[in-house]
Amino acid sequence: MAHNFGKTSMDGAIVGAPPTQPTQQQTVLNHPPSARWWYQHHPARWYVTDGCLLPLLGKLVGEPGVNGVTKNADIGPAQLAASRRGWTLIPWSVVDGGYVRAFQGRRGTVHLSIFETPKIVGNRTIIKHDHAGYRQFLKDLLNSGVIPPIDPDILDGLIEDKRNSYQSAVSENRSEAAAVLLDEIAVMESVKNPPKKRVKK
Amino acid sequence: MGAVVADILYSGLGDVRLSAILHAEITDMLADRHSLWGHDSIINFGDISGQGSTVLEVPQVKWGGDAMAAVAENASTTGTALTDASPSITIARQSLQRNISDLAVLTDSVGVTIPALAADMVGAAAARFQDMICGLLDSFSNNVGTSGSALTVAQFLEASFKLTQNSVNGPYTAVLYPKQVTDFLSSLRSETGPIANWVGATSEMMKIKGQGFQGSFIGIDVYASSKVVTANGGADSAGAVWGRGAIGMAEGSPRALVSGDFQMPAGTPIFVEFERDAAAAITKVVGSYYVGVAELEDLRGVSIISQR
Repeated sequence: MAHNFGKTSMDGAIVGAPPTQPTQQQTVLNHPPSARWWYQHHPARWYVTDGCLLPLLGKLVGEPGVNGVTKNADIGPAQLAASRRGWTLIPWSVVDGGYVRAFQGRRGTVHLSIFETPKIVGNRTIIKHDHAGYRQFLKDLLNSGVIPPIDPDILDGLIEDKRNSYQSAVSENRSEAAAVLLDEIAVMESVKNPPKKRVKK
Repeated sequence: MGAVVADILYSGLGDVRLSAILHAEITDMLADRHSLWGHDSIINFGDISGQGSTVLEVPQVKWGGDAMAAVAENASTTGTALTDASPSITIARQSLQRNISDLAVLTDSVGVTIPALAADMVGAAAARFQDMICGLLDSFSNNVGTSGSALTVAQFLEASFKLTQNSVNGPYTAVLYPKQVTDFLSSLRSETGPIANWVGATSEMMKIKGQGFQGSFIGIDVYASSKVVTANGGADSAGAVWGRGAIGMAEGSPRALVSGDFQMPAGTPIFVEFERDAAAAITKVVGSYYVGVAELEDLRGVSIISQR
């Protein structure tokens, strides 16, 4: 059958793809590269922020050669060693999609938390922090039981440390530091002795 | 009729002038080149090559940690268990590769040459080592500082006190994020009397202790490193202060396994290899360094958390 040079239909049309920019022109972060990492919790690490006593999380970094991470970036031995020291790994799955994001950096992949948003301004990378979101994440970890409540004896120890620091601040006339410490002690005391709920008769 | 004056101007000598010339010497660009590689505060367990594993277990025993007890006449003592531990250090390959074309080499006039790239591998290894050490600093269960607030002298002292209370032998070493250092120094300005015992880094001290050394406070050497990691969702920095025995390292050097064209910069376990891609007229300079770092004893260190 002869070819019809008339109006062609959209069927069979070749669809192009958006062009990709050369590597040198791609938008990449001007930020040092970093390995994958995981949050981990230790029962003795807590801090007061925004009127709440929250766990002070550490990081287990998946860098080969660091704290037992193998040459293939397997964190199993590192996780085991950390657990012997009292740490508990918090898996990425506690948050839908994980709490770590990978970005393409100029010198390698950059791994940031979901609470850090990079912004490129000129040749600089600015990291914007979602402090409220991170605090809510910690509260969610506590409320869901992923992180158990603070041990009462640990709490007593923290309160005593803060009281000693407060007394030092007062004696050294460091009024601002003393005020902050007093607030922290009040928060910890409220955790230790939560206000009793009124029961409606 | 007057003669036509034709001045010879620089702007008209395009055929016999260069648009730009290169200074004969290269100057260093701004970079954080501080590294604790070889520092006394980190125990180096040496080269584990040829010993059958990439994992070194460090035996620890609490010698002298259990005191005798009084025993009544004619009474028998009972056995007391020895306290021991064995943290492990796993080495892994750290590497950097540079590819340089023949055209780049033959047109060089300032020293960006294959030997210079090979020598630069030492700096690259040191920088990588510092990255690895800073990755450990937030692993101590003891911590001081207030999230979102600037580091103060009182908090720094508190960290030192925790080490003293845990019977950690000095001298101590502190590595802080540069902002933590400046916050600390700002706080120090308001201190008076013996507490203001800050010995700033002189040029001679910096030559000995290296870039990054900021000074000494109550006998604690303070270093600044931009490689200190973040904490609390990026809001804070996690520096640390520790005594010797908190952190250990081990290395591996594949000297006996390597054949071909390689060199090992003097006094280091780094080995540099060259690979030639004749078709593309490219020479690859590959530096490799096998190293591992690990926390040995938790109570010998204190993390310092403060505003980033």
